[in-house]
Amino acid sequence: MNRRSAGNPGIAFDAGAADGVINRRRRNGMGRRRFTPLAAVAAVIVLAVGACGGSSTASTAPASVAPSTAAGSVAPSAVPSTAKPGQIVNINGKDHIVVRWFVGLGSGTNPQQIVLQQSVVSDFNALQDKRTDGKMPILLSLEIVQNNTATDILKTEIASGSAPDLIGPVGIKGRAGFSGQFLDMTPLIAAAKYDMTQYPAKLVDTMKDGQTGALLGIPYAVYPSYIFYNKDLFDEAGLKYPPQKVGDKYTMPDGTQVDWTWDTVRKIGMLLSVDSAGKDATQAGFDATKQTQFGFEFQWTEGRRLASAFGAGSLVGADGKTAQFPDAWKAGWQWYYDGIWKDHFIANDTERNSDLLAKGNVLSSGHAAMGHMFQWYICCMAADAAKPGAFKKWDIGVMPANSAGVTTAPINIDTFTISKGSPVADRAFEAMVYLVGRLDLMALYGGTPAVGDQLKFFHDVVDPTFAKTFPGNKVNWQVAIDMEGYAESPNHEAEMPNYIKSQDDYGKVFSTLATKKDLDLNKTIADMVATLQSDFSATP
Amino acid sequence: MVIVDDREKTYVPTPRKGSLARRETLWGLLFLSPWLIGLVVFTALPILASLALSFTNFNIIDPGGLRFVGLDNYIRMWTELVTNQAVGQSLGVTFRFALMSVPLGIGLALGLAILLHQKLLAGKALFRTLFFMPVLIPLVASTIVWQGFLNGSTGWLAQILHAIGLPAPDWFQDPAWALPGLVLLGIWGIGNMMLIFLAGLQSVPTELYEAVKVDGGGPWARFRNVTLPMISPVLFYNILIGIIAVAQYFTQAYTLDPQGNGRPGGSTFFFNLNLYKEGWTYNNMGYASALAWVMLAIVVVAALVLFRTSARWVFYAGGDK
Repeated sequence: MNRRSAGNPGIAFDAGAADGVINRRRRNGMGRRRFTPLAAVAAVIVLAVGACGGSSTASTAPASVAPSTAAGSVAPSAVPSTAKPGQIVNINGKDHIVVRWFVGLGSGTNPQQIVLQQSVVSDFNALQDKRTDGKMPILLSLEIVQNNTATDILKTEIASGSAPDLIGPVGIKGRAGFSGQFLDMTPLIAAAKYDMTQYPAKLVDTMKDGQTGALLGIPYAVYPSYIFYNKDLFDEAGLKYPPQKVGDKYTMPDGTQVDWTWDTVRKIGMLLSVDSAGKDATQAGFDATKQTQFGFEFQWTEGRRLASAFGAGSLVGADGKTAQFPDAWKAGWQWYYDGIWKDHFIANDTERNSDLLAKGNVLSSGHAAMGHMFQWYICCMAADAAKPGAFKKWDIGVMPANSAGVTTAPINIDTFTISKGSPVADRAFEAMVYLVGRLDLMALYGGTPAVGDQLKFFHDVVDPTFAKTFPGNKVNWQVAIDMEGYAESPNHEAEMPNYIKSQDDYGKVFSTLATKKDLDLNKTIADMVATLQSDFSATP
Repeated sequence: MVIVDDREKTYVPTPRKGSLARRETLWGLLFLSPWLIGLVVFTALPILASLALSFTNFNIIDPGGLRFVGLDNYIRMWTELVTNQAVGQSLGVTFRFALMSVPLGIGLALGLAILLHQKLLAGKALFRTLFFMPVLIPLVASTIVWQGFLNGSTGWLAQILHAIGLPAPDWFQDPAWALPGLVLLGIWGIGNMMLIFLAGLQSVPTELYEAVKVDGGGPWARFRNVTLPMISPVLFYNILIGIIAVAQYFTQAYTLDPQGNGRPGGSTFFFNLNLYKEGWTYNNMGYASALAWVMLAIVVVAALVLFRTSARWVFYAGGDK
């Protein structure tokens, strides 16, 4: 056997290769030897930095939306979406101070809203380039994150010292998770001579921190609530529509005139609840396990919001530390619970999450006749209308009165806030004032301006957006405006001790109302109040 | 016949690293360094940081208020465990789920692998692909699909059961059925485990089966005395991976209830859901870090127990462990 070929071919080959390497190095000299490792090190650094996202101008925020630009003046690649607070960037030879706007805690994340927000930012940046007051132009940088991850992302940004400057739109509940992180705007408002007297005092109060009294925003978008109703389903059942003025009576099928109360809603709700055999919930033989239509829905509700529809109240007593559950709220929860399990005109959790009821988007499914709905819901109705079975003709009615004859309409209010640590708070305030003035943006958020001619806003801005989706359908927006006058005080999202934990604990209990049959509601509520008391007492 | 082993006489030079070998090592390390840097910066340091943070009151939205609290977080955890508060409840849910899902998952994956290993089965490749396919579907998507499938009102399963006159459970809306629902969802994704078992089955020497046959053994004897011992390392591996997977269980439960309360009625309140809630909802990152370290300790203990007992039931054909 040829030993060299059979036993050590590798040795001969390796030796040759090694010689070759040495010879090449000798030929190329020392410069090449130095250059190659340096190039490799550089390549490694570039790879590592690239992997770590170390570029100062690149967008690095997960789920963030591409930055918008000032039309014609700023190159898209030049605008940082996660710039450092107070960063100065030079664009087209001109310095700009960056103000970062964070969207995601409330409205602003659906595709149409994203497009409009980008356009608003472009408009603002274009205006900045034309400013002549000698101040450095602002470069508004937009960061949009999906609502379900927005809280986590904002917390991470705060923890890492890169909090955005401007945050919103955000409601009271959205703010509550960031206690102490937002700026008291009082000095900024004074410095800018911004007229706060134009806003109703009641709305301004909702902008204050419940603990410190700091003014955390200016009232921006108001979202009153009312009763949505599907006209087709009412027509099909031969029922009169809900009243559109507080105090108006409702005409029952037998012609009797009754007060528009929650009990009336229960009665007609049952008539509008139908099973697969076509029987309604008042008829003998009605099969609640085969329901195909429901009379009423509290769309995307939660415990305090639902309860407040039955009368204003709070989970915390006047002393600010005693847990309670008002009687009107008990009545509200009982009404809801009986509506699900006894009278069968409200869907339980299983039915609500079924395909029939659009997996929780019950009103848009076309299988619910009425529902308690906030103004922000209109932001999403256009898309829903295209779905099969969706409603085509609808309108809104006033909130029903409780057993004491009191009408209450829960309200949501959104605002913009400024980070406490923002180094450009005054500039952020300037941008905020611009955003507050953009009514087209507010319309797309589904809000109503806190001041001004609201009916004109509805007719000029909101109606045209619905004309294509719901041709021929006319909505009486005066109802929404009237309902603002019946807003609850205190607000259902109002501050309470140990806010997040308390909210979480009553939320857990409230969720059982739609999942548990045969619940002892009085005991459940009493236990919940005890839990809340321990939460309040353990206030950090 | 005398066999002379002449290897002992052969001169084996002591391996010495020449300059070329050293250079190659350096180059290798250099090209590995992006990954090594990533490992240190994004994995090792955060792990160490979380250990340090577990002894602090770190609040994610108030990083300036950070202070050392000693064992306070661990004491609180112990209190919550013995009083059956969040820690006790979440550990209970996690253990119950482990007891249901690990044995069932292993048993079914092994059963499927044995079926797919049959000589007479036609279309093996197709079946393997079909059983493995769910593994490729993102967890969030599959959970949402299963929510619809298991809906007690309009879900397909409910409709099938109703059609044959059987009652349909309310799976994800009934506290008694939510965990079994998640187990069912987990079983759908056992394709990976099944493939590993299949690989183990394919490596069992056929002579051993023939030997059992010659000795008069039937299918059960073949499975009991040949298959099971020969695939015991694979079984061991799958059990270990199954336990680790339960310890990491989060996505499905979070998708079911993004509020993190383990709906319905806390029945899906897994340990990691509690950890997430503490860290991200209540901002108690220090306490959440302590929870994470305790879960790590539980997994390490479980793994050690498995390794300790493995000498009794895991058979390594080569004699190596």
